[in-house]
Amino acid sequence: MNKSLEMKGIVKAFPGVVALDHVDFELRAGEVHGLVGENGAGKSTLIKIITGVYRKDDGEMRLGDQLVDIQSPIHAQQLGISVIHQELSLCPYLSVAENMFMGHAPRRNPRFLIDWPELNRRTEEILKKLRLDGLLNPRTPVSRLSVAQAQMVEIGKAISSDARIILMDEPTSALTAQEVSTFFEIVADLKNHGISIVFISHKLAEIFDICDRVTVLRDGCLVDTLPTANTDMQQITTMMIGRSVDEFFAEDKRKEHEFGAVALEVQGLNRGTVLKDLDLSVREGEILGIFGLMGAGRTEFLRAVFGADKKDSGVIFVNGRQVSIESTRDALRFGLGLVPEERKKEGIFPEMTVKDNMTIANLRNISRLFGYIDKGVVKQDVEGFIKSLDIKTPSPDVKIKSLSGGNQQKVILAKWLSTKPKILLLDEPTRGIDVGAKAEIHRLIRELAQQGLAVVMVSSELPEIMEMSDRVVVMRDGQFLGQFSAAEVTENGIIQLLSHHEGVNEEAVPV
Amino acid sequence: MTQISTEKVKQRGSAHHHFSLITERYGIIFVLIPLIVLFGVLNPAFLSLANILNVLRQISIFGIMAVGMTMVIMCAQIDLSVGATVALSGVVAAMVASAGAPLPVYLLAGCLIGLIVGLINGVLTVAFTVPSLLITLGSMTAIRGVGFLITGGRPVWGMGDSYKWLGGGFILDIPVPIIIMLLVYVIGWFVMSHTTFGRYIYATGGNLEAAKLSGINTKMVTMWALGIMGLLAGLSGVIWSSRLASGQPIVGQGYELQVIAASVLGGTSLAGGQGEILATLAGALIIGILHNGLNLLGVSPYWQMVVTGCVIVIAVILDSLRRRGK
Repeated sequence: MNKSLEMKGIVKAFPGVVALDHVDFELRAGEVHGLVGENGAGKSTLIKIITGVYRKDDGEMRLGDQLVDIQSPIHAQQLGISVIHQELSLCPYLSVAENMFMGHAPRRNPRFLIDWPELNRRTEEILKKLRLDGLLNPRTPVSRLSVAQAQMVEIGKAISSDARIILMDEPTSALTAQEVSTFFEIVADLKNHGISIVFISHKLAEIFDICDRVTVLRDGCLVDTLPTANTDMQQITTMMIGRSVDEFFAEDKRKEHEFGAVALEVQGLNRGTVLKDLDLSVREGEILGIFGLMGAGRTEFLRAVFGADKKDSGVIFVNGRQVSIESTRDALRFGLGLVPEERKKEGIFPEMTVKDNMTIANLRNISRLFGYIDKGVVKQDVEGFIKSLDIKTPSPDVKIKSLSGGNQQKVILAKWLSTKPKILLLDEPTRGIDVGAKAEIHRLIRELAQQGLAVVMVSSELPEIMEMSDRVVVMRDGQFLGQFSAAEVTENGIIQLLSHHEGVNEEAVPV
Repeated sequence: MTQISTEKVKQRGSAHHHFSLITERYGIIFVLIPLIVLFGVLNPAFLSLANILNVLRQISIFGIMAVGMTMVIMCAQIDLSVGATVALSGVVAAMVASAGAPLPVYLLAGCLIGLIVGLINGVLTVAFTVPSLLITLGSMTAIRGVGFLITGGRPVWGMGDSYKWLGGGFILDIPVPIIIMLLVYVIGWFVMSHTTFGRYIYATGGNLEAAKLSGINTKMVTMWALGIMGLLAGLSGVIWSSRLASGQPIVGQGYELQVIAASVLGGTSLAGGQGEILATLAGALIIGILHNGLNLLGVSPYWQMVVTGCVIVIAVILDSLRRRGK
């Protein structure tokens, strides 16, 4: 068996935490190897060591049979290691071809001139391999591409530099089911050419679809490496979170409770072609799930209700009273809160402390004369939330960027909870979060609903929506297509509703 | 076995963490202290009380403005018009004073002019979502023009001796400008560390979109940061004109760069969201100490310029390396 990469006893520590504790990892030629683990398990640290972003503190690495010490990302690339990050690293104003061959574009004589015809020709070759020939023009600026197409360009980039090892970090998080299956076909092609792939994902179903073997990390340690044929999702999940899956899902049985009065009502919400005449109502204690795929307008809907975007028309009632929400300050005043879709871009202040992130929305209420903030009061509130939401942080005074995604999300939740909202809008609240933290956040949301909060939750994960919602609304192209109660909702029902309005039966598999 | 080693790492980490928090914010101390020691050793006169007061008084004008500039830069903006505002407020105060008005009135007049200029910059910046860099690029010339217009291009005289008190007087043997500067820093530090407005500035510069989604009126925050900048420039302008004992429409040229340098030396990030008022004071001190120390050593003013420029570049590089090393 040809080993393309072998890592033994890898150790990596940072101040205050051991990220990798004597981890072994082995990659065979032509295999697709899944890497799973909760956030904080060490996956991303391992990837960074392989790609040369970090230097290992201890342990041995071999490429083929050679002992290596990867010094830098450029060194890693020279050794044939390429990585496709979760957040795409393309230059939006440059073309597909320029991005694909970034740094190694073919040259003419004299050597400082780029050979454009050759560049475009080679790009076409790669596009063919990616089954995109005819669909993408090498000269198109990347900014005009869809997320899925841009991802393909990233893969093309890896191919163009003759990578033998490609690491893919959550590559399918922004793809539709159709795009995912095309993606898997391309991965299979790469496999056949002897390229080894490390596939990092939180979507265990995909791990089992595409990977030959899977490695589970937990708390910086290797739990096990198994062929996917010899295991199942339950076992993997147990290995990841260290306790039986049943424990988690047993807790999720929702207690039946009465819903209160209508907390939020939206009538005739319009915004250009993005939101078309939308009506919605949510009661106290109810969790309303909005399901739809990318581009449906779900985020835009939440933002319009929250006053973050201007609407063309629409009336909003809070607790039966008509209110005017033209800004986020208005929304706050009337008891709304919004947990945005993209944590890093819209949710957290990375350089500010956990404490500041948690209190920033509520300062108006807790500050005294001239805006003076009583640090003692703040400390109490903050410590209260850290405890009640079980937020893992060394102290409230560390920068929030050092926390894992799940814990950052909890801080954002705490931020809104401290404003004592009546209505909570959640946009993909568990995106990019591991199984353990996900279950915790679900539990928190349910508790909040039980305490009388009205919750609107947007998600593109069908299982999550079905499990959490008291009612499910299906959205497409800026319109609500219909709704299901918890009792009557089925995967098929939702998919039928979506495809019926599409005209083409696009999705047979839930995302 | 692994448990033990993990615990040790975590303990070390906690102490390490607190120390690194402080050095991160006030790292400029590591440039300031050696500099003081160096000059003190090379010329003991440097450390005399008279000289210390000298340095402090010399940095007071742009030191005061650096507080405002730090706030503005932390909002991910910048203000190039402060030098022009210094001139304008100086001549306005002088004109009001020469008409017979007492200290509180002409001081207020100068500060008010500065505040108005700052708010105009602020309103234009936020109403049209244009970077204040570009707005103040234009306003700096217009403001100076106004100064020349109202004075006919000539200095303003005839304010009487009491006018000199603000810039040249003493309170308990300490020059008045120093007292004002220290007051401004105390208030500035308090606002940035202990008030909601301060938190809002950190948030606006740290992540504009997240700030908006957290219910912060980022436009107001930015506008007022620029307003405060103008107010402080106005205050400095009155002090400066008092020191010159005349209202001069031509003063202040190039001040904005000194002020920005002081702020940046103090670790304020031009990207916004990071900065500390007290560190800005250290930045201003470094510039003042260099000027003063090199003077005492008899170094030519031209060499002083080269040295000061190099020190700023080196300090900024060191700061960047230190941040990157985290």
